[in-house]
Amino acid sequence: MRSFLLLLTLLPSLSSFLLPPTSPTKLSPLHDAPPSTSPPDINVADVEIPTSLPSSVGMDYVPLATMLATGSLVEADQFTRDALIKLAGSEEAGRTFVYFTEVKKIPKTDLATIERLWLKFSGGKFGYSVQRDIWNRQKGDFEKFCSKIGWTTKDGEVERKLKWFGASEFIYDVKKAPKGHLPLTSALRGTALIKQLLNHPVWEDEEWRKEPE
Amino acid sequence: MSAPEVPKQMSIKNGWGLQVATDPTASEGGPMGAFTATNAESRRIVPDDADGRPTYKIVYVVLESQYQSSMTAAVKRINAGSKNMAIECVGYLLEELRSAEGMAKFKEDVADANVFIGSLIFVQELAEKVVEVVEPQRDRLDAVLVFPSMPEVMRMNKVGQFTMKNLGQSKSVMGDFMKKKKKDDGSSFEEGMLKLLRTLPKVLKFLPSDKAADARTFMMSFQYWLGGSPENLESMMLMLGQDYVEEVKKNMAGKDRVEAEDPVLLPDKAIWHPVAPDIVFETPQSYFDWYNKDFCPDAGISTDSPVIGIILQKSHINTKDDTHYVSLISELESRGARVVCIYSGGLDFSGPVEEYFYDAAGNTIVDSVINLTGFALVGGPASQDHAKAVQVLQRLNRPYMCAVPLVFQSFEEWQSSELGLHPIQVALQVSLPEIDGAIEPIIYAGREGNTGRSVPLADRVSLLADRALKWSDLRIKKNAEKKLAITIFSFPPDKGNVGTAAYLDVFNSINAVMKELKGKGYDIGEAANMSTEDIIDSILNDKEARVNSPELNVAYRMSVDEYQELTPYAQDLEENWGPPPGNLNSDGQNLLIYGKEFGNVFIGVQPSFGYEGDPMRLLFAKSASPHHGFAAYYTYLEKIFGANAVLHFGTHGSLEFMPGKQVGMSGTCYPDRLIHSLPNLYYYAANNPSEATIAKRRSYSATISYLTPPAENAGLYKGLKELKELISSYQGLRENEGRGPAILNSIVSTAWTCNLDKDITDLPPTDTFDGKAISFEERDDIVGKVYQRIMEIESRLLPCGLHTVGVPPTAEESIATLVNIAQLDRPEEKIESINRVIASSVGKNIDDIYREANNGKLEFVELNQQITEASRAATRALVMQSTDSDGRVKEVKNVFDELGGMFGKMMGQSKPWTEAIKKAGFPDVEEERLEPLFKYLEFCLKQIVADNELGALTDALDGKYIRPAPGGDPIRNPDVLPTGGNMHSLDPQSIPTTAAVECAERVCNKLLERLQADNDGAYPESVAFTLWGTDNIKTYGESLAQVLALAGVRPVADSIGRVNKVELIPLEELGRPRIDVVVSCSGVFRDLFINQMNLLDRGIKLAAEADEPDEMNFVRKHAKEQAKEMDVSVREAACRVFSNSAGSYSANVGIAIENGGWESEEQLQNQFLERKGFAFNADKPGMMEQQADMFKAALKTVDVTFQNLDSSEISLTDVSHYYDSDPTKVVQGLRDDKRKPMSFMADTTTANAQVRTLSETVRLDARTKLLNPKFIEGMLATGYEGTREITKRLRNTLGWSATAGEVDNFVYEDANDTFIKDEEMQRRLLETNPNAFRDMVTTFLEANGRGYWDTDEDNIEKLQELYQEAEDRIEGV
Repeated sequence: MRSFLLLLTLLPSLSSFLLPPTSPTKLSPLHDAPPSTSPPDINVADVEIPTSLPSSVGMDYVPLATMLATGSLVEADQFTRDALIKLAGSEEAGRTFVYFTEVKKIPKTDLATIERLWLKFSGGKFGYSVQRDIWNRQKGDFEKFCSKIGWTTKDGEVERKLKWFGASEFIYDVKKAPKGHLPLTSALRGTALIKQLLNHPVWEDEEWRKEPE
Repeated sequence: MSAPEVPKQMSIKNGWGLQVATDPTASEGGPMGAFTATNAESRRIVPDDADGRPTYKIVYVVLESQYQSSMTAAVKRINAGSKNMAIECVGYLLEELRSAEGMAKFKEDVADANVFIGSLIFVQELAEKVVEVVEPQRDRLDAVLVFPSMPEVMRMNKVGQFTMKNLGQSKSVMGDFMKKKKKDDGSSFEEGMLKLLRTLPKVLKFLPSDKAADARTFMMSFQYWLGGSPENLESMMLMLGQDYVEEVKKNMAGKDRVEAEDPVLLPDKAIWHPVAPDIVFETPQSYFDWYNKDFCPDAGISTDSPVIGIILQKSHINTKDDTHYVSLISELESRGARVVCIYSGGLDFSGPVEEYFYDAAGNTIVDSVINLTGFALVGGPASQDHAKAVQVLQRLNRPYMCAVPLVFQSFEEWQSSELGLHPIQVALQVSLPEIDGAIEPIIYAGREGNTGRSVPLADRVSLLADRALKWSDLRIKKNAEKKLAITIFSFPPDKGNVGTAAYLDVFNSINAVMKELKGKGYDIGEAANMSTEDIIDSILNDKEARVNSPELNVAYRMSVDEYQELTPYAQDLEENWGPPPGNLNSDGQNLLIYGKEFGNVFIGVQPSFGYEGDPMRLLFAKSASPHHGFAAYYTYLEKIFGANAVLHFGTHGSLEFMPGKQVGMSGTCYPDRLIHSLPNLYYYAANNPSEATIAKRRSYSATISYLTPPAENAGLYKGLKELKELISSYQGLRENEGRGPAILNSIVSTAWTCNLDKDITDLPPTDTFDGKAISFEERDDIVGKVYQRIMEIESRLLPCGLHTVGVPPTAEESIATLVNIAQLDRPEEKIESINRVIASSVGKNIDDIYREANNGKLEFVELNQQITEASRAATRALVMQSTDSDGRVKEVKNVFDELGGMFGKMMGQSKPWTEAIKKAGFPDVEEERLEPLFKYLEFCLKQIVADNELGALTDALDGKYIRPAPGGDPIRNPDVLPTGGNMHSLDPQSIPTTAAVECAERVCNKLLERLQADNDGAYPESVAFTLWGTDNIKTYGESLAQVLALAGVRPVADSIGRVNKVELIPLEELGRPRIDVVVSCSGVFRDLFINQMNLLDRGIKLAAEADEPDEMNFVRKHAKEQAKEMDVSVREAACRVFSNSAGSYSANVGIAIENGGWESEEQLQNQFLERKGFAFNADKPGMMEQQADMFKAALKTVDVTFQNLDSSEISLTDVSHYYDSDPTKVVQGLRDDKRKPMSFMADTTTANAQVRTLSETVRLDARTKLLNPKFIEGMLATGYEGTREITKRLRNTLGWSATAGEVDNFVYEDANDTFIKDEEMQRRLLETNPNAFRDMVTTFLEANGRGYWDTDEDNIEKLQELYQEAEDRIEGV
């Protein structure tokens, strides 16, 4: 079941919707996922993984914290999308993607925890709140937003979205990636999802920034 | 394996989302064609480890790629899980077979395959390739499965003993079935297949033979295929393996057979929603129970928000390749709209529309409809039932948008293509839906290169959602609140031209529209009490200011900041136009929006292209962009005025010709950026379907056709009238030896003063001629020739005056049109022409009469004239029956059903038209033979006077469906009427029709006869053609068939009646050499008929490569010479089909001539060569390659230039197009001997088709229009616009001098006499439209200055004075 989850998450780009094969030999859904493009640049021993990672639904965020702390951004990214599917209740509804109407069901507490981790370990470069700022500055223009955060590339004259399947073109590297590049949210089923996510009530005030006791 | 029962209805959720999975494999290898950069390698799966299992190989070919991921997943499951077999599998997209590499690989793969599978192979040339490869392997293959495809592909089906080899021929169950169904329309064929599928398993139970088992396997396989999920395909492949593949069978000997699962199928039609729990909904009630009670409240969507109906393809739901669907649904729902998404298993979507888009009471529940399948509503890609589709949509009565998923192209391929959408897709998924009345062919999804899955294009989906909602708004909003932006044009950009539109009295029409809107509750402000003149004045300022002020009324001043804020692409325009505001539509500080608001209606003037006077920009206009003022205008409409819809008023503006892709706009194409989310209505002349189609495709217009002005016979005037009278006297007195010759002498001298010597080359010289000196026969001969010429002029049709929207023609005005309708034989309707029936009453064949009359045989000219008069009288008699006291046709009386008529007949009284014919001198005419014709004429009369031009507009503004209608010539195709329809082109694959091919052969023979007569029997070696879109629509491809005919090539229809093959006519049969051709296609022709360009190119290449002697094959002769000269192959040298580069239109010679901004003819010629020198190459379809050298090389050998006139209302000098693309002087410049080629025009506007020289045609046109008082007065009756129309004819005449040098001096001289020397006329012109009059004076001076008109100094001085006077008048001095 876990594989199921990880497969059909909020896929990161328009460029593709392909699921890794479901053959029994491939237990890890991450098997086919693109490897991190740079070695972890943070020494685990130096990093303090927060111990208080509140969730209003009992979700365990230690794995996410560890992935981020060790620079395993590909895995952290996947974990984040998977988490949203659970938090939004989409999984329960038997679905493998979040429909935009379900975003409101994602608890503030959990979104805040996820966000703080991303911010912390990317030095403020990655996270929904970062994307939200950029989104607002682009007046909600999805295409401009994508080029701002580096989800598009230019092939000669043609500007296109990065590819995710096959060899992923996304930049899983804190230093090299543009601001707001991660986490990836799929627009494969419309831009309404990311719009909702960036307009989640949690962002309405600054409460979410407070580190829990 | 158990026999399948009726398929189980399955939950689409049951975990199989999980299983729709493939391994992304990066595609290898470079692009294989202009469009299909993917290749089959991305679809190849080889088992990692067969582990001793037998491996069998499957090769599949599909039209669309949604099967790819399911096939891949299924094969992987077998390879991972089956104990008995492993599979190697490779798939091809049909389009990939176009390339040589693709074919070679395919052949290689099939050579060692066990099983071949094909589906939806409906592209003829590719179907042939599939057969070419698979047929030789058929016996060897273990199984061949072909699902709905062209019959020749279907015939290869083979499953054990089951075959379809005799499909359409034998008496087998399947064969019979297919045969019977083939006769029906395509949709019922598909539906029938599905029905058969459901019932056949039961039937088969009673056929306990092996053969039945094999047939069952086929049908099961089809079910699995339709089911489409990986499980279904897995079952199919397991079943095929264990029962038909030897290796696998051997391996399984003694083992348990695998029980293949029953096919799991969704219902054939249902309502679907991406987040619905578990199942699809088979009734609207069950859907709304869930949607209204659970989903919408949770999603915060209110129950009274707009409802968008969406039509989906089942195969995408089956294969879960649905993210593009989900994307649109979520964009709509996130905007607060409600959706009802329906699908159909077959290709007839009308059933679910009828079932799910209505409530229990039969009321339509959707506000607008988006068809996401890209297919015609009924029949998909195979064969369509448009009548059924229109009937269903008309009942639904909602805007019907048909959006297009890219099938053959990936997003990047489309994005980087100048052409845009793949031509095959344009034919199948744009042209065909248009015939259903679909609007807005917006590309919304692309194909992901690696996986073949459909992925949405976010910005397009967003636009689609916005547009669908704006259409819904029109339905929901109250009229009093709706805002309408009426946009008028100004061509060339000059105040005298504001409100230009072909055949339309624009301001009176606008007034009519405004009053109609008022009646429907719209707020039109002060316009409610304004006359047309007041409205004109308020836009052009007041009456004095119209002369005095250099500016139009400014409706809005947009600051640069505001402009940049509201126009997201403003920066992109700076490359061409510098920073805003620039100097067009600008006061130096702000951008100016010209026009005026009246309540909620804004009447605005569309800005010009902006480069009209700039030769460099004219040359490279394609890379230009609209200027800031242009962009500001549309920003104003959408974002400041806040229009709910825009109405473009008349044929035509420049929005739809802005740079961008040809078809399938992207978000960076200017027409798309400019119109953005605004619903766009467009009043368009009914006779111009081709350009209307451009407006529909590029600027998302829903067109509303309007009538061209009623045609009248040109009649005779001045000297010509005198001639007619003299001829009448001569006929009475010809035997009088004293009077006869005297009258003849007058005839000869009058003919000279009328310049008929230009047309009658053997007209005797007037000074030495004496009628007494020649024989009786010789006299008749002269008179006959003169008579024939003046009758030709007299009977010419000319549209009189300008049309006003919503005003149908009077009875009197309908007559000339009806007479012309009556003149054509319509064999397909079993109707004989009136002339034919009358001629046969005197024992003559009308074709003989025409021929003899053309030769000037007096007796036949006279007879022809009598017949013409009799037919006019008869038609008048028909019309008079239905005319009221105001002279209008109120209600067409159906005389055939009338009791009185019956009674009259019993009393031996004949019909009024029969009486009229009898009275006109044909007492023996047969009434019964006239009956089919007159029934038809009666129908036509009804159509002519039926008027829905205003009704269609208000309906469209109410968010209703606009009835689709063909465009074209009402005389050839009365279905063009009534107007007020959303015009469409025709199915490009349907032309040329057989009738068009026959007619083309006749015209070509006439041309060759004429040329041989002028050249001592020699054939021309090469003919240059110009092909037009509208011309080919109206004539169903006559002119393109002419090209093929000259080269000795025949178009061949495929098995489902589409023309997409060509073959050589053997030389023995042709009986003459193949003539070389150079084809210059208009940009519009290229857009509409790129498949036909392919046909032409293939035909010409066939001719070039035929092993025939040079003297019998000039195509080959020239191609060989060129090949040698240019060091290329003969095939490459046989490059003869040219047009503009993609997205570019016209040589722009017309624009240069219209504003006089050109220096030398050479400049115009270079412009022509540069702009039109892009070659089409069937070996590399999908791109227009710059090949100016090839173009020049081909034109160099041309002896004759040739064009067609297809309908009377658009003649040589009515539009700039004909001379814009005429290569006569270009060829002269290129020829080694610098000899001017002969120029001919075919005129197929009348039953008596003619081939004339260009100069004859120019004279004829000048005599019927520019110089004809009837035409002039008709125009002047509409005042301001009429004056402009007259000037335009003169300007276009000058164009012919410039490009072909075929205008006689007397044309200018007579025009000068008519408009300048006649003081009263000159005053009238100056007063009604001083700007247009000044342009006329300028044109005369230009004609003289450029050496086209030789006249005396007095005339020139007078013109110079007048120029000053007009200038002063305009400047208000």
